[in-house]
Amino acid sequence: MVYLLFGFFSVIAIIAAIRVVSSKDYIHAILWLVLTFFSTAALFIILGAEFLAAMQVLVYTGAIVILYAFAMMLINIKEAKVIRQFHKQKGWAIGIGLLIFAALGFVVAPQAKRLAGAGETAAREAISWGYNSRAIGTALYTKYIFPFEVVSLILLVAIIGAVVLALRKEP
Amino acid sequence: MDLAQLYRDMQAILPEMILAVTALLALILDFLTKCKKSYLACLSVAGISIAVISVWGIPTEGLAFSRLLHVDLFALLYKLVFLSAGAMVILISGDYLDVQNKRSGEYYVLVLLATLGMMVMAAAANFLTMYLGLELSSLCFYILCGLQTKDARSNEAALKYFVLGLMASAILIYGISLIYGATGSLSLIRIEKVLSGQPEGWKSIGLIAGMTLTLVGLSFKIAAVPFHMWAPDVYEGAPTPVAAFMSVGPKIAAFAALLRVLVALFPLSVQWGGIFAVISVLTMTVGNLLALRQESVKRMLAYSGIAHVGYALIGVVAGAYSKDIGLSSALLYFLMYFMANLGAFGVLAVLCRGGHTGETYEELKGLAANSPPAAFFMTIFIFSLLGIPPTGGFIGKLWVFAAAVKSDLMWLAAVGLVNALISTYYYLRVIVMMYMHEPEAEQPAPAASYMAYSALAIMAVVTVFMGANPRPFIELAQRSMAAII
Repeated sequence: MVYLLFGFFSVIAIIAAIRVVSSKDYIHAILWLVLTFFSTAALFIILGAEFLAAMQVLVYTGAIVILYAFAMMLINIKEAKVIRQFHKQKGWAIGIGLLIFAALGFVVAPQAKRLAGAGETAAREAISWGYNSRAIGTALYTKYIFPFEVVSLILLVAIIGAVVLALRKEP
Repeated sequence: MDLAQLYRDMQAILPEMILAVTALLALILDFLTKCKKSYLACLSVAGISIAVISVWGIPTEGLAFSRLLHVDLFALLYKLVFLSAGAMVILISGDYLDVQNKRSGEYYVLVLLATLGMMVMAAAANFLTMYLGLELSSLCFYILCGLQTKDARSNEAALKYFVLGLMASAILIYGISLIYGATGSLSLIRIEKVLSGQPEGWKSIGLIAGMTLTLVGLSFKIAAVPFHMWAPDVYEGAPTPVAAFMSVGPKIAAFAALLRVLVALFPLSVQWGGIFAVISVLTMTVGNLLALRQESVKRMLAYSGIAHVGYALIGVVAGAYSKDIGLSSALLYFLMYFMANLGAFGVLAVLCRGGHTGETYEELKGLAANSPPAAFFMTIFIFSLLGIPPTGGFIGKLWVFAAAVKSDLMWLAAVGLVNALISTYYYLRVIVMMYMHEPEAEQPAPAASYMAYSALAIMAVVTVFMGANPRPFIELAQRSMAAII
């Protein structure tokens, strides 16, 4: 059953990813991208990484895709529509894509057993903490509390910067 | 996590917490009040002063926050350096901000938070905290550069610094990730243990590549040649007090981080010693030769600042052969240098007044007749940068060259000496312009307040005091370096 679900979402993710690069309309491409991200999140849930799944939805589908949509709508829509999806480098792109895929497979495949073992150990450790999210939360608020606070200051500075540089009306 | 431990940890970051509270207070007061914002300068300086006092209350040994932060003499010394630099910058910027009509609350908030970020960097015991401190301070400086939103040069400086800084950060992070892959840890202490536990002649390509990329990232932040291109343009475009802060703050912070990384990577000292020998010679020579050709004093100071990094790197190269002598001389160099450089930019900031930018050699003509105190302070700072006794710069150069000679790097000391000679030309030109030329036209006298002048006076006194009475500072540098080795 789990394998069936995994296969189902994998196929959806791959088909959606292909449609992202092949659809002519950029709004369609963005929507296909949302589907890709959602099905990847589903894969994470099946693998027991519920925190990653939540982040995937929040960060990628929530923030990044909106950013893409904004960027696309800010530029001239008519121009965006005539952008050709298929260029002369199509062959090169496919070739290099397959090459990277083969290289990754070459590196990962011999290690698959070891990696699976490492994943299991990590999963067992996570279970000893309760859940992933709980383990991450505990680590963030105890061991890594200082970096966590520094990051909050960085975000504050980013907000100040955005307001100062973009919103200021000068006399 | 027990509360006693948390309490001890919080005690260790007392100055940082005081700065953060001051910054947040300034931010809120800026929103709530509509009047002139000069009181925020007083608030910020008061906050920094309390932070300086609190430095004496924290222990001088150990680690805090689950080994993410060092609490040692090295960190304390750098914290004092950044705090005093921050306070001086706030004092000298009041008039400049008034002239530019840019006095606003965010300026102080950003200076305070940048200081905080640099303090975190110098205390980092882990690549994670180091990187976060770096980003906090860099982000503040990107914004500070672009504060003059109507000035094209300011915008250019901000954009250039932002894009190139992000690229350097990316390179740094990639290097750190490779080091993590090779050693299995981000903790500098752990990395040193792993490396020194390896058998003789052990090498890993990932580790060497990671080290190189990390050093490239940090070299960008200290503006060492060939990663210096951004510095002159950014300093020229940034508001002068910000340029003053940038020419010492982020540079010294990145240098502190560099020293910590180099100590952790000491088993690879042959490799990084070679890298920095080349970078040091290039940095000194290119910085000095380009400084010769500048017509803007601000740009000249930017290029000479690059050359100064080169002198300090002599100490680092010497440190690859004799660890404590070399690295402590590099530390001492910046300790002696920062007040003079801050002061030289500070005088330029004071000179900025109605219709005058105070940035070119021409505008310095006859300054001695026009404004004797400004010319006098400038002379002291220039003497220190030049390395003339009895100023701090002389002691700094002397120790760096001595460290090179002691490590059998006679040729490097010779290159440094020749470069120091070249630098006399453009430094003395400033003094000649100020004292031996008549003022060209009717120039308004600098409208600087007593606040800026007292800051310049403090910096001048400290510069001379460090040179006349160097013993305690030399010992301080040696003891701080011994604390991290």
